[in-house]
Amino acid sequence: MTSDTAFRSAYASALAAYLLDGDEAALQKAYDLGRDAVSDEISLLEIGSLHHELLANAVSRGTSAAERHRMTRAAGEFLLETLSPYEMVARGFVDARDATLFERKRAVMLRQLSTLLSDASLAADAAGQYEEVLRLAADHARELTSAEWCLVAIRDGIEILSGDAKDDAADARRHLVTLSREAAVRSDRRPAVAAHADDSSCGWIAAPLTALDGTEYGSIHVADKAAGEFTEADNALLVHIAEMTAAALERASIYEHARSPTKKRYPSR
Amino acid sequence: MSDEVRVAVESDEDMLPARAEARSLALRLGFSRTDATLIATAVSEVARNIVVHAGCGEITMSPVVEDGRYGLIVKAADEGSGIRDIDAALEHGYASRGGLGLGLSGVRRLMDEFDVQSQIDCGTTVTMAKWRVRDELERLREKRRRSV
Repeated sequence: MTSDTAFRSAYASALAAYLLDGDEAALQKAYDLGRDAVSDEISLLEIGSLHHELLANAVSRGTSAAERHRMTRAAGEFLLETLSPYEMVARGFVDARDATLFERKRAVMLRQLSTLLSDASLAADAAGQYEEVLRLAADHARELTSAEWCLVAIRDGIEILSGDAKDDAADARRHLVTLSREAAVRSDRRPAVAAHADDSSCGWIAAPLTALDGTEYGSIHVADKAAGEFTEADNALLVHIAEMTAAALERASIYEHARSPTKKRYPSR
Repeated sequence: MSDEVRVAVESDEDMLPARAEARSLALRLGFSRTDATLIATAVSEVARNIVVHAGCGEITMSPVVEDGRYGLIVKAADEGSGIRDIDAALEHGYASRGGLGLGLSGVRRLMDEFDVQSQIDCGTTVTMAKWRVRDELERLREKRRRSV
């Protein structure tokens, strides 16, 4: 159906049929008309206006109050059917809006992380700058992937764990440390994805911290997603954070070496 | 409360009895006219999916009455070719009618519970439910009715 005129004509016929017979076939027709109207982008206001006009005409021909009441009620049922596809679309709009807001928030947080990592990697306090870089990465990775835990572990034994304290915190930490050591020996740049259903964690993803020159610093892990399982989007996000973190560690190392040329560049080999 | 209702879906014409049964069950359960319309809409969409994508299937509707709530559980099953990418099919804005939010993604938003199980070349089963909490007055009426 491509024209408003055709829609108006079809709607008028279907409504008249329903007011006469009141059967399910006419209601299905109303629903199909609604689907067509959504597809043809016919305004809700047009539908409301048309419906009211047709109802007024029908009711004016009613021979009794009971008849007019019956027609008004029936017309309401018909309109509900026509508008139900719009209900689906409206709820979809809310979902899409929420998803857009969520993505925007993620983008803002990533930009913020980039700035913070840049500042931290050039901090004057060399002793604390690596921990600060890892802390920033861990906190942001945990929040952005909606995970309960994040562990960032680099060679030389520095580990930062981000997450709320729980009774099983020690077990979770031991589990993640084990996983990080397994991931650290992997030279593959792709993130590891695994869901361990038989232990305390509800899903786990990890990514290596590898600099552009191939230097392997360690790995970053998140575990126990707050709701559902980790998604491909979470994987991609973690890889992105891992790359930013590795770049920050490399920058910190270069800066530290520039301040103290006699000191070996991190990581120790 | 009556037992479950089964409707075989083999053509467009079978969408009609499926909708009618869904609406009738919903109204008898105590859903509002608006909710009954949305339930009939959801059944329409899954019936349409069966006809378009699988050719034939079955829709089962089961009323459920519990102390604190009542609901209608709908299961639409077919043995068609299956859904290759369920996530894509459910993604908001993805639908057979050019991304309008109709189809399975739209149905998911109308119902309180929604699940899709599908295997390539084996078929698809969509299970969905709509619930309403029974208020105190309604519970008392039901209690009185059962004691008669």
